[in-house]
Amino acid sequence: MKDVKDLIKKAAQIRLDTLIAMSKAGKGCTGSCMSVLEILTSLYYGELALRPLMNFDSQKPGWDGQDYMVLSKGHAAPTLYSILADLGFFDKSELDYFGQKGSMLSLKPNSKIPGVCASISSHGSGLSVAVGMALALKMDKLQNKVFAVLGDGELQEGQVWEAAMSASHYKLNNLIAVVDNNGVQSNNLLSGVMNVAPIQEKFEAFGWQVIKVLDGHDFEELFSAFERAFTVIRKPVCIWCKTVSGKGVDFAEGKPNYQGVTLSSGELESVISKLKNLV
Amino acid sequence: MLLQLAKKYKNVVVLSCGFNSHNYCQNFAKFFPERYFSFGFTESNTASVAAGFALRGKLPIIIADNEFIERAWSQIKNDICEPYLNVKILCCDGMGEGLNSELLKFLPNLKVQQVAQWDESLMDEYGPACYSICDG
Repeated sequence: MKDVKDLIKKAAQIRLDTLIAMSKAGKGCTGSCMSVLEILTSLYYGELALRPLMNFDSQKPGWDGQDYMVLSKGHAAPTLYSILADLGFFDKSELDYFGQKGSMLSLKPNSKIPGVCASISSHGSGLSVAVGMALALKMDKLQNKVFAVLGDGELQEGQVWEAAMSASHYKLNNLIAVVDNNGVQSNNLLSGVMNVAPIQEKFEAFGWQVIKVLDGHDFEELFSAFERAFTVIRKPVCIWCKTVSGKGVDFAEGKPNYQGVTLSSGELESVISKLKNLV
Repeated sequence: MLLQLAKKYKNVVVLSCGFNSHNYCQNFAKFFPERYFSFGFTESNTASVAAGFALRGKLPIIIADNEFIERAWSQIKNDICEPYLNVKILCCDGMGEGLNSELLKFLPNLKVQQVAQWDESLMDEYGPACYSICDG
């Protein structure tokens, strides 16, 4: 899928599926799931030079030629699950049971779920897991890439910077970290909880190449960043994306109080009618 | 000992947490430099990195200080034990005061054992394991 108009429609459909799944479960982080949505849509549906941005085969999860995507911000799992269901990794009806006891779709990503390559249950460890995968691929002289999608709040975890140091030490240019900088954490502004800025300069200081995306919801800007990232040699790459918490849900955009909650049934109804017009 | 193991299992990798001058690490690094990775005192990071290696089919052995490995408790639990990955942790006497094995016994699926000496048969069983060893 290379047409940006098609991607915008796809993003609207994923938004809808994600919001409905979270609402049914009564669990989920609206702000975070919406802010990362275009980043994940780019990775799974985007193309560069007529080739998929990220290699995967929904009929053969674990295929040797696949790239890896570690969702370090595990609380955005509903968005990932909606995409994986849409791509046929598992039946879309599974979304109805997200987060419920006995469901395959756990609140955080689990490697038992088709299409999920790593279990992530606590903040800050995903980048380290991605470093291990990237090192193992380098060791085997394979060209597969590893993407790690991080939230900005988890950058407060010291482990992220231990991982950043390791990736740079081992010159992991097969590793791309994408930071979803929505500026909101636990129903508060991130800068008030514990400021992590300047994110770009911190990664640069750790020896990473940093590419800035000023609108993390603009597909063309995202593709341009990935295209540049693929040309970097001897360094890991951080794609820093400025995003909006709750993007696409107009009354929740940028509002900290929607970060860690699901929409009420009334709110959901109003969003469904708007998003259906975009699909 | 680790050398025999590396010959037997081609997917063995050693991840050292600041133990580069330990006998185990020095010998392994000398004969298998491409399978030896130094991570310094980043125990938390190294535990999760090991999970990444294991997810790519490697058999990582973390070599860390008996006491400092406690820093990685959460990562060992979440990234190694719960997903039941084949990661071995070899805890050696270093600068710390020794392993608090009681702390590790709470972790799901983790085999915790004190051994007098490293033995390659310890690797035959699949699953996460932590061995405390005092043979320097």
